[in-house]
Amino acid sequence: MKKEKLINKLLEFKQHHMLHLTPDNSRKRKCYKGTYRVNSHFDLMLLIINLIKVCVVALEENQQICDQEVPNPKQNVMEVLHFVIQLIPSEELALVDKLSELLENIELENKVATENS
Amino acid sequence: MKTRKLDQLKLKQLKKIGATAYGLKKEVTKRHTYRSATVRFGDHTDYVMRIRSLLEVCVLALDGEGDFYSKNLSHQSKNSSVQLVIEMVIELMPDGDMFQLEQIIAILENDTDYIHFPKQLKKQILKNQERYEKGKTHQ
Repeated sequence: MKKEKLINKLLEFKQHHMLHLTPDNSRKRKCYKGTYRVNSHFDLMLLIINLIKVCVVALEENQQICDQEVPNPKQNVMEVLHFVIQLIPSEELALVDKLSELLENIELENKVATENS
Repeated sequence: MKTRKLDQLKLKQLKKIGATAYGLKKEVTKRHTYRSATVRFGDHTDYVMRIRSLLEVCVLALDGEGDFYSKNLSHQSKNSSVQLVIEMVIELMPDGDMFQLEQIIAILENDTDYIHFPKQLKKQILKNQERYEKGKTHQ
């Protein structure tokens, strides 16, 4: 496969599969921006509360104290899991599959070329 | 400046605040209207690590014993998982939105002492007040 064609293919893959994280150059240190969706500002606040409550339950060894402050931890955990579903980088992992397939094809092409020569 | 014109200027400033890059951004799809926010991650590994931490914290919360029951996770420290999640919570905090809210409230309450009060609007409000007081003294 020609270099130019290969680069174009890689760029195309990047455009279609790198959905969760985009490079953020606004800060000194290079980092990535991840976007997530919420229904409203209040929804965001509920998410933050749920995350904190789950952390409280995770740290607390005395369950009785926890019961008063966090009466329904399963519900909080469920909300956090909903958030995690949004974050799972499934498209990015599909890209890994495609890249490894592409590398295999290149290796195969090189092998055939060396055998013919 | 008349009150109506001042209100128009206020509206213009409010729209300006709404259009700034801070806070949750409105996103309209075919079916729903969302608000999208951003969280910063070091790189892809950091991203996956934080997702792992979120799941680990959920496991800890459901276990109820304050430690990992599963042998696969027994080497994990619960404190580091919780720390990573709390770091994420800090990133999620709507600082930008709160700043916008502060500015909007200041405009609605004519709080010209507020440090980030729009300069043009402040000038007009003070002019209006001066005129009003002059008119009162004439009467």
